[in-house]
Amino acid sequence: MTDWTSDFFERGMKGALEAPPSAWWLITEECNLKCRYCFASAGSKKKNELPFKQVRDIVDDFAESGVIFVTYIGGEPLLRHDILDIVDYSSDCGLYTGICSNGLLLTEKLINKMIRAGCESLGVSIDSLNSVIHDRLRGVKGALEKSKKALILAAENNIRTSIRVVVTPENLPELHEIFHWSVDRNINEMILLPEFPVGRGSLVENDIKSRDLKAKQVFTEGLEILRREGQEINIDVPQTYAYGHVGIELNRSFKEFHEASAIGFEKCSGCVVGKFAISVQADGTVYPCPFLQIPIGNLTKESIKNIWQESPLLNKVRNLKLQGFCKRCRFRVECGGGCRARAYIHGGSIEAPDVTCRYRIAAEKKRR
Amino acid sequence: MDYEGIIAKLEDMTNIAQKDQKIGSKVASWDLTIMYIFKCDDQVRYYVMKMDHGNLKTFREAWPEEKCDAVIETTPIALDEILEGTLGGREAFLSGILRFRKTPGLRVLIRLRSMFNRYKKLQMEESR
Repeated sequence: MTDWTSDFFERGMKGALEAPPSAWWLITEECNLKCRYCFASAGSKKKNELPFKQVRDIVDDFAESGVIFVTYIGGEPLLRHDILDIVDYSSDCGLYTGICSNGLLLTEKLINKMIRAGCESLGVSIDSLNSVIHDRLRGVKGALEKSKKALILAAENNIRTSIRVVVTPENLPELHEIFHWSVDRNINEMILLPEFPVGRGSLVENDIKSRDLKAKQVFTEGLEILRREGQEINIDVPQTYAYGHVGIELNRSFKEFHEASAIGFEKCSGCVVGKFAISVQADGTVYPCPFLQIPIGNLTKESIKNIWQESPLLNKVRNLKLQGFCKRCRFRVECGGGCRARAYIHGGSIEAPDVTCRYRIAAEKKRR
Repeated sequence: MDYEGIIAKLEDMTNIAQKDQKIGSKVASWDLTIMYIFKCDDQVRYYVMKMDHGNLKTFREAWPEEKCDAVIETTPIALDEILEGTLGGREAFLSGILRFRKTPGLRVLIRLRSMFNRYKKLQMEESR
């Protein structure tokens, strides 16, 4: 890491940055898939989706405040007719602009239009190389073939490409195959996400707490599998503490560049809440992260700097007093107390401990 | 690509940014001082770009670093590759090909990226 980035991370970890460097922006709730675990409960287009003019004003505010990474997510961002204008504007303002898509609408022509508009990274979600599994998880028949084609085309057209995989019991046995498939197709990054019991994901089972514990266990196993696979071909699977999501740089010769990507900022902090990122909803409402769905402001009414610096919730997280097990934990500095979304899900409070922490669980087992 | 070549390109980029339909009005409000330190063979050459409410002044001598918003050390070839889009700014920065001698705030970095991005896009349009 360079002096500049170390200084930056240090300030970020203390929650001392003037504005979040990274924003995930759910630019539309409209979607052409029906994923079982969609955190946004996406489906039909909502009436309160921000028009281009308001999106532009927020992008201007981001650029003036120092929000350098913006990733447009959804729903399916490509269903917005003005998505290329939005990307073009964000890039003109100097923001590092990315899109996460399900790939169904991506053609080579559209990928090239996105590149010319200034899109610098493209993520496509694939949960399995088996169409029966993928299409069932994603809710639409024929989805896998289109998503695979989109990813391959993106990688061939030299845009930074990531495969995004939600780790589930269904795809755990083939996670290593997805990993090698991606490496062989020159995809730059693999992003692993756990299932979170929020949005549509909260409707699957009544007991969301035990569901979350299971989901985290599966996610941890997935990481261990890939860590072993990666070692054999010199690819690092980063250590994480919050287990929100993990980015794996697949391009071996570019390993050190990973630190500067949006995911790099996030992975260094444990939990990103109040430190490195925010989540913006289609109507401009701001959440601390996509999985912690508590409104902390609206960008149509106030600036990102104001929300970031004045939010009582974010300030509580920044001044979190670690207690009990966390206070004595050897990872307390890097981790900072674990995932705040899980703390909220399990403990009903942003200040609660993250009871899904695997070190805590192991210690409790030992004590018993 | 030598020192004179890259200076010509940087000036071209800045002139374009100032007149640009999309970002020109924003550039007109910027106060920004960037010093480039170029390593050309055995020589070190300087180029300072000072924008005072959008009015551009350039200097070919070293300035005190405290008077600059950012100090960028690189080679003319690397900067040319970034401007052409064949080398990502992020990659150049992290591999040490491009070094920030003075840490710019993210707002300054975003402004620099705005000019670079516009220039790259226009180059892409021209080459089609």
